[in-house]
Amino acid sequence: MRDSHPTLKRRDWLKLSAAGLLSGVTVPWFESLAAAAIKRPRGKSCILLWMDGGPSQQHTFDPKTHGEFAPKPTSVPGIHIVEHLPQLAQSMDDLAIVRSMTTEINGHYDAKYFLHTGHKRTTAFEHPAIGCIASSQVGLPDDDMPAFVTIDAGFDRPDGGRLYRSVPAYLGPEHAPLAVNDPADGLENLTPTGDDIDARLKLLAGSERRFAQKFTLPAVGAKQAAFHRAVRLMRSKRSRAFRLDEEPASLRAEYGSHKFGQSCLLARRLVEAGVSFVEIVHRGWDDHGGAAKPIAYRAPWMDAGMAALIRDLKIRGMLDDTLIVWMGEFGRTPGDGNGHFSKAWSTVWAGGGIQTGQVIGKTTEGPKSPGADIVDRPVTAPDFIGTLCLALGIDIHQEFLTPAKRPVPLVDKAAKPVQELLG
Amino acid sequence: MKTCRTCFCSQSLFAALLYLIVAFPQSARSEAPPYRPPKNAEEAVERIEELGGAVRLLKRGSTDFEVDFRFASGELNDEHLKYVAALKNVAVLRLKRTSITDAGLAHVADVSTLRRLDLEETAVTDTGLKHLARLAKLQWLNLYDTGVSDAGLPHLKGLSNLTRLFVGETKVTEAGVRELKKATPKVRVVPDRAEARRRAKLVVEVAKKLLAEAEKQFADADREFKELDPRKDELKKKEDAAKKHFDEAKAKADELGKKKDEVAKKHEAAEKAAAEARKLSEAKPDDENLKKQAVESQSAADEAGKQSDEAKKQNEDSQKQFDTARTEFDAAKALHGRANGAKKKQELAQRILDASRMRLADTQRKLTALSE
Amino acid sequence: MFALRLTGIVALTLFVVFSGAIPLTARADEPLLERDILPILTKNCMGCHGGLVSSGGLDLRTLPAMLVGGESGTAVTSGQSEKSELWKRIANDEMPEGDGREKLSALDKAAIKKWIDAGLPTVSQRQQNVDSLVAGDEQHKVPEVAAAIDQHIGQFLKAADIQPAPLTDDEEFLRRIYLDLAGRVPTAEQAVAFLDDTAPDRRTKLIDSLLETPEFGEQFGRTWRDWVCPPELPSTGNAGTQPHQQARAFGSWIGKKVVAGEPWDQVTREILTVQGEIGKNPQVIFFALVGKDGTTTADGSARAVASLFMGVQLQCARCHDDPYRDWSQQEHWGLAAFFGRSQGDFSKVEINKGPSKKPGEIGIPGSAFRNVGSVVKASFLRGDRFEAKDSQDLRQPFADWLTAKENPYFARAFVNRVWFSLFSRGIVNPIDDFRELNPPSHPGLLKLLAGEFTASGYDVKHLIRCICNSQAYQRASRVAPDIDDQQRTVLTTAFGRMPMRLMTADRLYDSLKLAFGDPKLDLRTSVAHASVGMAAPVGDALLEFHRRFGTNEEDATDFTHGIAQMLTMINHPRLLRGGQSLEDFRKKSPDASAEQTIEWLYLSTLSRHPTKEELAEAAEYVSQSADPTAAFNGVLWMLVNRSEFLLVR
Repeated sequence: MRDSHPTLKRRDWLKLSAAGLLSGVTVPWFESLAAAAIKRPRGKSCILLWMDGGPSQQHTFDPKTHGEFAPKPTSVPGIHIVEHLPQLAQSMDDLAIVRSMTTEINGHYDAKYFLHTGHKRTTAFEHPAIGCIASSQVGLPDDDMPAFVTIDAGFDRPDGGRLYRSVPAYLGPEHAPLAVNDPADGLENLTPTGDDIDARLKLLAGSERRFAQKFTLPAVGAKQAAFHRAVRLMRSKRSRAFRLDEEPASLRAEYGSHKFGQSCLLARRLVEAGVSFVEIVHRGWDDHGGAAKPIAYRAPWMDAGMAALIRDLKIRGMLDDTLIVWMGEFGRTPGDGNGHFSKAWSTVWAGGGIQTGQVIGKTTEGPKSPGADIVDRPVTAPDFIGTLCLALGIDIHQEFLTPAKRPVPLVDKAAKPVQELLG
Repeated sequence: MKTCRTCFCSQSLFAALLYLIVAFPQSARSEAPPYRPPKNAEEAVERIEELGGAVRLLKRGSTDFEVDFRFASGELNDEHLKYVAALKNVAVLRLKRTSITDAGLAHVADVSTLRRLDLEETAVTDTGLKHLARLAKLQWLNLYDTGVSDAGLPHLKGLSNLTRLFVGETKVTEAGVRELKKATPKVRVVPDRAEARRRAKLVVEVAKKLLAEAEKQFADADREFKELDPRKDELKKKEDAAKKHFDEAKAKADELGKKKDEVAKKHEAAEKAAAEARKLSEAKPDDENLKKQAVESQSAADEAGKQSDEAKKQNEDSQKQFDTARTEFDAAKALHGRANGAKKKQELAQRILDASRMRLADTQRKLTALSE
Repeated sequence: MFALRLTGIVALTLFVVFSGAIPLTARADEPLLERDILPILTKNCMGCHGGLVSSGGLDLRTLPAMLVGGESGTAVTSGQSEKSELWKRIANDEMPEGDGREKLSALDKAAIKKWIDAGLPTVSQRQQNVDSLVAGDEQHKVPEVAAAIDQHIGQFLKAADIQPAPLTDDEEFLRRIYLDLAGRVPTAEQAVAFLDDTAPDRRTKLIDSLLETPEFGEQFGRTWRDWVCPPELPSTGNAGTQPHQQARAFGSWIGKKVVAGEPWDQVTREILTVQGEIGKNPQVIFFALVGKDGTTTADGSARAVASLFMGVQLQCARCHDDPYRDWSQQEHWGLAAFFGRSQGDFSKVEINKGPSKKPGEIGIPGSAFRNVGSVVKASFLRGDRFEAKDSQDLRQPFADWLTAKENPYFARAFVNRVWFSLFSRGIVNPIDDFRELNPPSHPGLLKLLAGEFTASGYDVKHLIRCICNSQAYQRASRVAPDIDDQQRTVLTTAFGRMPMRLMTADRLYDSLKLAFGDPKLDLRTSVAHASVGMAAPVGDALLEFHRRFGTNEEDATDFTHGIAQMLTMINHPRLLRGGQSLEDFRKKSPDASAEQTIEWLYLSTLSRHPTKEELAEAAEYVSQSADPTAAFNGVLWMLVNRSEFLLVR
């Protein structure tokens, strides 16, 4: 069953009609939007592996010769990472490391905001996070599945301490993420309680129909459309993507029994089912007591999960269509990784048709303070977001309006996307 | 410019939506309509969308399309694929998990512009592959989890543009791939089991090495824990005592240092006085008084010198004692510190050991699976 | 650009609104400055000829500025377009200048020409000497004011030839007034009490009684709290605690005072001149909420006070003259200077400290774009200069000025906000953008309400009483099925009907708690095994509810809920488990029939009796269930999932 205006999302249509634009007024941009939507270009999907707290670059992807973890060879001659990530080392031809991230902000919350939105935080208004941007720009229109799903993004602390949450801001609330807390549990509130959901929905239907007939108003239409989308998701075969128990035990074991690995597997299923952006959050990388030991025990499950994901996507032919990004909100102090360090750190990219098997950007070598600065090819937060958007097929030159009617570019105009990644 | 009466549309729309929810509790979808030849491309697109398919530009600015049936609503049948042939410039066709069969591939073969064909998890078998021989432009063919085997691969030999072939979860063997590559050397086949095995072996080697290191570190940490943790209180007492001793030695060294400086100053002053007295005496060699004074001054200076030497020696001794006390204190502190931290260190080492064991077990299992 | 297309939409609406509504001295097709010409100039000209940049010395933001003109002399000559520089340059496409700039369309040029030739008419000229319809300077009785409100709106509707919606029936009114004034739906008992009342003045009595409940205070306080709080609360340091608790306490503090009858000028004064610890003075948090990173700022305070208590938007003027509005950077900092000798944080406000080196003046900081370092003296907005004497707390004289009877900003800003909170649209929109070139849609109405509010001694309850007793407030939201969107928009804009609104998060939460009889209603997921590390297992239930069910503060008709919210309402186990209030009802009335229980459920959620059809459908559903408790829980579930529950008619 289709909307009578299949080319435009219902919400937009209702909004436009509420503004009186569908009644006898010529608005050229509406027509071109309608035309474009039906042939909306294919975008790519993205799985963001968000290592919350700031993972130490010198203990993962940018080790230094006399550092705590020595550089070891990988499957690509000339590229070295730490020994503790052997599976990823053997997948290096499918990875690209950007070692010259330089993002100015050393505070957790502000840095997370900066790296999720490409803009510095202001209390005046909010910017949309990259997942919401993807949902809005390349999400499948009018689809059973949500376009943006977060896994394990968590709750605020009882003392009020905040976690960063992706918000859609001026892109519209339909681009807010759907949250999965524990991948083993699937999507919250997806399955009906009780055993008579059909009877209850039937009980509801009669009154809703009468109400809509009596009150032919946009708010009613919007509510019923949202309700319908929710029921559609509940009923859709594709919502089974949220269920990990449908995967063979051997594959689940390959991803690893740790929650991170299972989250990666869930992300693959969701992308297969049409979700455009999955953000896996894993907290606990804020190693203020030194990074060596904690990363030594984290590395096995991180290695297993991420490498299994890349291999699994590759073998299914999904890797070219799915961008993977591994990152935190900054890196850590060179040497022991004790503190926050935004001056020179690393992100890792895979899939999505990008140019892999390469390292982009360098940090200083030494003998004094290796890694204390970048040598070349700085990649700022706007550069990063611009690159990500382009990789997904998003036009970065768009502008949007904040609630105060102030125009804001999707990506900072000064952003220089990393062309070497995009090829 | 068309006008739209929201009210009318929404009324019928909402009624229809709710009717669907009520009437079709298990699936809000209707049976797929049968194939009807489309009059033109626009109509073909409409039919495709009716089936739940999507027609999209490959990317902004491109003139090539993809037709995507992955989320088709009703049951897609082979005849429906004829809609695709009615469109121009279709470069990509996605049929993952659809219910098409080998017969449908005959219609797919009519899409001469096709560069990429996704057939994962469909009922396609070796028979169907023969139709694909006509797709001269085909670069990418995904047969993951289908019914194909080595017997079907020869059909693909004529596809000179084929660069990617996916045969995971099929009965295709490494031998079949080798055969195919003779005719189409450019093709990269996924998975490459031999390569995967080679890499998995390397991974297991590293996992073993890291496990050995982790075991050693755990042994060290465990030993230290067992030795030092029970002695925590004792070592604290020792540290406190060493600190006391250190403080005392420091105080003494400071005191004697001060004294030495004082005495040295006195000596210097005395020497100066003696020198002056000598000068005066030498200026007046006949003056017995002056000579006497000079001698006395010199004695005083000598005496002061002796005292200064004595004080210096005492100071050196106290410094030495102070150094010893400091070294002892540092050592006691360090030992106590180690004792305090031994538990945490051991726990960390345990975590690292557990994780390393798990890594080896997992990677060995993977290698075994690849070797079957 | 999207921005300017939206301006076009606003212009379009204004066109429709004003086209019929301008009183008899104007002709419907006459171009007016604010309605027809300003949008064109804003889009095409003010980028270079506005507050930010004034090429050739020309500022086109206001008519006086146009008349003064720039280097080439006056821009417009009344009645003579062919002599007007502005016309000459756009006629031959010399302006707008610059590569890639679109030239003006033929339609836009014609409008400008017509406007100049017509003698430069403006809407605000038409709004001089507006009649408020009641004697000024004295308080009037509620029915008189209510009637005057209706007269103003009636005049507008008549001029625009629009038929207003009929009055609500009692059921609609009941639910609406409880939600507006008490922030929740009525209980079944309260609903019955009203619906069974046959006294002709029952609506007035209900309004009066609700205004005396502490819940009215809570709801009023929440509204103001939400206005004060920025979209993202500030915090000290990073990932630091945000003052949610303090903000809630601030709202409650306002509410208690208003319920107790404290006049608004006094409340305002107590907010603006507070000093000391937050423990004794919850309003201390006001300044930190509108400051930065957990400390107060003089300019943040000035902008917040301007927006909340004066109806003036000064945010653009922090760094430079406002490009589009007629506020200057000097004026912005002149206001900030009043807040320069006080500073604070989340726990206190102290005076005789602050960014001002000398009381009564403030230096423009480095973070502003222009004129960094220059010192600005305190001055009241478009008012007199102010001379600071020694080191007094300048917020005192500021509050004196603000709340004085003659102050042109205070009363109208407040009445506009109250009107907005009840009608989802202000008399001036945006509600904090009062200026000459953004005229009110109903100038007489505004004058009436502002005058009444002032004359009553800033009596909040009196104002609300007057508004709620008007027919305008009591109009239905339903529209005839054959009117189209444009007509409906016009009708709503003219206050000829009430829009249908989405319940705010607070109202929804309180209504659900009431319907289920569960003061601790918790709709979070099971968090028994939530992750370790930086995220603690349990968040704040109220905060999480707000995050999930938050709404659009600026447009209550915007339905912002999506799949996540709907799934929660449909499948969260708590909403199928019934509640204490249902249990209590059934215990109290063990002989109640299924129909009676269903009726009680309808009354406690939708605040009305079920129709015959609804009763039959629900009764059948209940009869088909083996377990009556589960069945009634199911009916309750159905009721809170109704559009009618979430939306306010």
